Amino acid sequence: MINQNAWYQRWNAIKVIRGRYSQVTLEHLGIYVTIAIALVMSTLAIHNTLRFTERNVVFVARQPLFLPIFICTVLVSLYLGAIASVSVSRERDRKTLEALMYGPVDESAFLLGIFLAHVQIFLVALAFLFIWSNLAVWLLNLGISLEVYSVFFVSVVMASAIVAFGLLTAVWGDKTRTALVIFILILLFLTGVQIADQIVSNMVVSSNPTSNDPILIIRNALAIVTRLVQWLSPYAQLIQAMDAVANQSWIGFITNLGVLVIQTFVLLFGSVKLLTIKGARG
Amino acid sequence: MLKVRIKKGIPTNKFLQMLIVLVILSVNPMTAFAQEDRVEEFVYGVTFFDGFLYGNAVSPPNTDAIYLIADVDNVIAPRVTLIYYWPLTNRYMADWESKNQLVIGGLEILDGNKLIATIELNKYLVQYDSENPLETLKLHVGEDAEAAYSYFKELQAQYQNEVQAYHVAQQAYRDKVSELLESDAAKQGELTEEDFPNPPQSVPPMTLHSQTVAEGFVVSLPEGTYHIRMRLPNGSIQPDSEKRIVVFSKLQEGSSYNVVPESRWTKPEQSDFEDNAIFTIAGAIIYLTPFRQGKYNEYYYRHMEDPQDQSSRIDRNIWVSFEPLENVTLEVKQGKKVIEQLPLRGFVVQQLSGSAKGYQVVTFNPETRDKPSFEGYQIELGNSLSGFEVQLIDENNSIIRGSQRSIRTLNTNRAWIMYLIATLPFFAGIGISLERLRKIRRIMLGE
Repeated sequence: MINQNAWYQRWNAIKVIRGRYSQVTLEHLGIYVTIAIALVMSTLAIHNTLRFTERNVVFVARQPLFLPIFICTVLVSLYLGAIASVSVSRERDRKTLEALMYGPVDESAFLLGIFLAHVQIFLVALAFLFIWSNLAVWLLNLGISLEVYSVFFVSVVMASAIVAFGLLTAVWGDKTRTALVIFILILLFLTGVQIADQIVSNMVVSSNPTSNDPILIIRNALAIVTRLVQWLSPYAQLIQAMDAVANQSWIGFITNLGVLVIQTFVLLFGSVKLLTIKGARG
Repeated sequence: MLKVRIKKGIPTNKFLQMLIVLVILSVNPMTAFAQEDRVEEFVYGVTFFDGFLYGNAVSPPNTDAIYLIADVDNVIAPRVTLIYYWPLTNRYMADWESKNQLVIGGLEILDGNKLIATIELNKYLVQYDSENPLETLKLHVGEDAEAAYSYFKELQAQYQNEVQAYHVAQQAYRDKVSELLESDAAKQGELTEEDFPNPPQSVPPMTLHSQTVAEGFVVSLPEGTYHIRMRLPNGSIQPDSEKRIVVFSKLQEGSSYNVVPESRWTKPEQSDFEDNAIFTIAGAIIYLTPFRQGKYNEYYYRHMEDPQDQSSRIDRNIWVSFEPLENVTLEVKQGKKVIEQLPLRGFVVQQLSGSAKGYQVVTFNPETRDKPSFEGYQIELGNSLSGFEVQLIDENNSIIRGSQRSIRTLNTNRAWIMYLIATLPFFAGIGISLERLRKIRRIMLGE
């Protein structure tokens, strides 16, 4: 009975924190500017497709909306991950986290509340993206399929993983600036490895590779790191889920979805544990 | 390698220096390198089936595996040849012309440590008719190989005789025409077309292609990884003959299309995947040429073609296009309703006369041309925006697997509207922020 009551109180605390943080973010211009920038970037990708088709007469693609959706969800999730990280580390910097912990809020309620708030904000951004993509389909005659909606679904889980990662870096980094630097550097590393792998792979293919070509060593090393990164990076999982959807590989799709859920759970669990160990003062 | 040594103290003038430089430059260093560094090595010559035709590769000692497609006849030929390292491409090459010696023995195939087969040397030959390679391609083995080669030689001799007879007849025709043109009747303008003889009929080219009969191990294995080694007649194992054989299968069967826009027919696009959509613009005319294709692991397939390949990756797959599909009809559907069935037709690209560049694509007429420039389905897009599905059906009305594609005409003039829509969240944010400020002000005024 006491246990049930404790969970009920914790859930109430989570709801209050979620409501407060989501309201604060949604009442500020920052998130709307980010969504607008992300949508303009997505439009740029679509514009590029249109321009190519106009000049080349023919354009063959799996789903031209995948790239704009990817760009938009990555930008918005990066922003949300960063502000989730700032939200936690700022509370600690201002010593308000310690005050909160004296009340009916514990580490898990605090972090879960912030986590859910940012996932909720992502859903708002996704609503804008949903309207934008449906208008693109209607105005440009692009054609939409169930696959696009399944990518929307995976992007929510991907954003959850990024927000959870933001929370972990906040707890890990103590200070706001340190937390942000860790968050950005790790994501840059994960993305950079994959981009470098793509570039080097294409260079090898295009330049008649030879057995003692120095670039091959880099290519092989990058391939190994990329294989590891693909399991760690939520963005790589999103790309793989898109590929799986495009290939009608539903097992692959569920695997990627499962990996993202596990990543989110591990990151959240890790941040709660780390905060418990470090304490509200850091 | 050419070595030029100039002793100290000997005076050299500029002319001599230039001569030395010219002599050095005139020697091809790569040729010199290759000549000196050829080493006699045991290799496997591989005649592999690539899913459509037979190809050849050499597996030198520096490669540890041979890659083959499962459940088809492939040939592994044990040879001793001269191997040299070619620095331009950094790979080992075989100098077959200098040495190509068959090694006698048996090929042992092991699954793990268990010997599962011993294959003896057999005669083989690959033959096909270039007019119809798919149905005529055959790996002839044993006595059949000898018979096939005899047949090829007979045809070749017959073809040479016919060509010779044609040249003789053509010379006779030319002589006769010259004679007529120099005759009195020609000078008086009394010659008519009927006075001229008919020109001899040209001999159609020989389309049967054949290798010479060779000896090797004919191997057909199910998917898996095996080990091979060559047992010599004295019971010993041939050095460098132990290798892995990776036998792989096609991952997926499909159909690809070459999508040719009429206005850019030399720049076709490729549509490999079933879920590919083909986007185009209103009023365009496009041609679709269908091909059979197979999906393979990139690393295995590329290593089958070239055992020393360095560019492929084990974690990637590739679609390989084979022969054009024939006897199939393109069904055009809107929703579930079939709106048109298009037959496969030939088209000819005609260059427009005059100084301006340009061409037009017209339907092939067998009476005016020997061969079409390409075959395909012509799809004319109207001026309105549309979207429809296409798929291939065979003679039994069955859908060809992986042939479904959607074709859509894009509205390319509306990108600016999308930019406007993209900025809407920004204006929504300004509205929400202003409303928040208004609320705060109201609260403050109330206080």
